[in-house]
Amino acid sequence: MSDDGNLTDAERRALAAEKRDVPPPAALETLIVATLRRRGALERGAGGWRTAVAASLVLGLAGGFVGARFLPTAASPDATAHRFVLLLYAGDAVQDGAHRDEYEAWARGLVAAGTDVTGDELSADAVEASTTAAPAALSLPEQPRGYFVIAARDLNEASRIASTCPHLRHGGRVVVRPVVS
Amino acid sequence: MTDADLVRRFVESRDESAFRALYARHAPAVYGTIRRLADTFADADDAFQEAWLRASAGMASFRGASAFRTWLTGIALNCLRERRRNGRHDWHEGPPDASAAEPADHRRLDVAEVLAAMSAPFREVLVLHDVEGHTHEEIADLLGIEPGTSKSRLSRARSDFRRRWRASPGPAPEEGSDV
Repeated sequence: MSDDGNLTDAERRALAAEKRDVPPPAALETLIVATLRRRGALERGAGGWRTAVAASLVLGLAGGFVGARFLPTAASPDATAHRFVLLLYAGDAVQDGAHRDEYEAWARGLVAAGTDVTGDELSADAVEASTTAAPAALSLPEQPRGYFVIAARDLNEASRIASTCPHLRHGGRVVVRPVVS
Repeated sequence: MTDADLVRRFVESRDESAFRALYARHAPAVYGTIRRLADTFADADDAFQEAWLRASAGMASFRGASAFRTWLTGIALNCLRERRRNGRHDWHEGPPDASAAEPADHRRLDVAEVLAAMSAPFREVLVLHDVEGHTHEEIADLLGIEPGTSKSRLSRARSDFRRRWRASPGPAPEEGSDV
């Protein structure tokens, strides 16, 4: 028995094993963010992928998209383009804002190449709405961590663009869903 | 992106995504610490929430002398101790006592139950040192006490923990344990 201080090894190990992260209730983040917004301490929507795309547009990398978030034909080189949603699942890339610069650069690259794109990260503090009960924690097994909306001629082109998304390099999955016209 | 980068983004442009990134990165660890130290879940929630609000207001003064998480933990501890001093226990549970940590089935208490039964000053130094792994110098900064006070308090806290732990019935927590 090594009794450093006055605890045995087993007692010390038992105490050390108590160190673990505890995710706070999702409602706390919502409350904190809402309070900070109310106080003017947070700029809603500042940063993130959408800002990156907007900045690209302001710089003139692609015209015709400002003021019409989902208007693929205006700036797309192909007037027959359709919209596709890229849903980003799992992976470690958007859990804490890591790799955000990489995502932003990817979005800027698409805009520079003439592909309309916008997107957002999605917060984890989601609830499931109900007409009969209070909002409840989501019971679905997996939630998207973010999304992009791109313009492409068809599903093949959308899939090709999606295959370059940095989310795939960070262990995530990207699901391509056409928007019904 | 480092904590310092995120702090700078938040301070310079009130960037919500930077704030949320800091939150996602540090909230589970800080909340875990506060939950282990608070008398009630409600106290933990309130102190945690207040800590983030104060940290946001004081983010510009964060110079990176300590890790962001340590800095935030210190703020949260202050919030918790203020609540304790003011006697604010929303769930009317009051401070725990030894009798509250005696399970009806006479099983061995787990560590969390023993910690919950200890006085706040003892619990603080024991958790911060033996669970969280802080040094006495860090604990002194976090609690606003002298390092020597932290050392002597830890010794008494360990005695108290050991007495409660060994007094609880049931099998030892680990096979081959020398408890």
